[in-house]
Amino acid sequence: MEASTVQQQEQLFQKFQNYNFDADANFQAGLKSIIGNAQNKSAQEQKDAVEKAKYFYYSRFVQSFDYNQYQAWRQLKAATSINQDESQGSSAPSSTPIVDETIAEESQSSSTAADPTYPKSFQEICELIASGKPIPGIRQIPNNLAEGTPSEAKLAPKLKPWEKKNAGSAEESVIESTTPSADATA
Amino acid sequence: MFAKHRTTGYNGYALAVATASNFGLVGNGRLHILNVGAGPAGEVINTERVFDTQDGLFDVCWSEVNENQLVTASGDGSIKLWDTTLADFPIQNWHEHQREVFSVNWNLVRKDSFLSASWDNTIKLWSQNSPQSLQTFKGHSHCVYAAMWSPHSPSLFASCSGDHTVKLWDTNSPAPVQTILAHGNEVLTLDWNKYQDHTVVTGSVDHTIKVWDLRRPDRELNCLRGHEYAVRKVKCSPHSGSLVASTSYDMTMRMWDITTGDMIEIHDAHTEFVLGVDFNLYRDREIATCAWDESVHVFTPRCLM
Repeated sequence: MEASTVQQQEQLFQKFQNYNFDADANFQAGLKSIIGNAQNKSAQEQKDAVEKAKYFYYSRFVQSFDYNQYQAWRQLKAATSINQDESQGSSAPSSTPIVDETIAEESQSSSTAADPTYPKSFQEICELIASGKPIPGIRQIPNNLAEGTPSEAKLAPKLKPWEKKNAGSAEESVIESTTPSADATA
Repeated sequence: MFAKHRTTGYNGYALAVATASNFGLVGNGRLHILNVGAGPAGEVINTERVFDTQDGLFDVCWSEVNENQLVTASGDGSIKLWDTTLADFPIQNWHEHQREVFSVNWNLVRKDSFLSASWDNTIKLWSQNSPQSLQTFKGHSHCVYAAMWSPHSPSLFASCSGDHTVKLWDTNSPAPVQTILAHGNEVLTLDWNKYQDHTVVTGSVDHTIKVWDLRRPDRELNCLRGHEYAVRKVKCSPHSGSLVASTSYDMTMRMWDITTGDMIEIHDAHTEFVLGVDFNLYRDREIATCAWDESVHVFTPRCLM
């Protein structure tokens, strides 16, 4: 991608992040129902739902953009910020890159991977594979077969829903004609 | 009502859910056997059993002859048969495909065999009692993403591929009986209409879903537009000849009335690529979806309420 396009994209993402959703009555009206539906969910899930609602709204009514690219950009920013935090001696971040506006607004990113113990993003894993580095957390599962006797089927095969409906019509045609026809279901 | 289940650390590829860690690129797989039942506050999903595998799992299919058994498709080319009454390991392990196996599908009529489709461009026919594959079908010039039995015939199946085609095969013949240039890009998924003999539905990287009458292969009956990225899975309802569900890299599951061509549902609660969808065979309004967001959703779509 050319540098100018990257810059345009970055501006677009920044504009999206700075958009005043609080002051947008249409968005707020829709958001109420989304929050209502997400009441039983975790804080992170609620946050995700709101973030996604923002994207859909912005893309539809203000300016459309690629959500995946935006996420990648955001995670890259978050990763950079997390590394900065660590170098300042703060505790380790949680396994998923959690992003809030204050982190994302910090400008300039260099391409450094996040906490190597938890390669959670697609991009991080791609980078590890490309650079031939070991992927943490892969376990060795023995290539064994189960000991013990496999189960015997106990349930008689059930007719599929479409077979039931067809069987119904087949029965009718059997009643109509004296010779049962295998083509009755065709 | 909407039940949600988290397959932590594994991206769901419903209700047996085949999963792969690290987005299916590298790492372990896990087969989740889930039980969806009624709880005090609506539906709940419990994990009955999990099986771990060395490589990611891309597809799963229940046996048609034993209610406790199911077969999985693996990223390392292996195919495994599992018995949910036995812990830890599969009861059969076949390893003939040279690359990722992307789909497994049990014969719905004869019920004595199943098919596997692989990125090594071939389709293989298996019997659970045979240590080797029974047959290999060559004809696609690119990855085969799915091979699906006709619900109406004991020997007929259809496949779709990265070579943009759909091929129709009969197990009595080694070569395809028909080839359809189906899409302008890779065809990732295909399913048979259960109520119309000759109708198949395909989904492609070109974002579209097409409905085909195999007797008129020159042109699709209908082209369904709406997904914003590649279509990963299409599933024809076992309960209705007009209902189709689809999932996509646009993070949605959508439902369609193929007789009118209308999109009748968008499920956008997943926060990552949606890979899998299935209809409950026994509860005719229930749908399950799984996604890269490590979640399984089980719910009744609004269009079926």
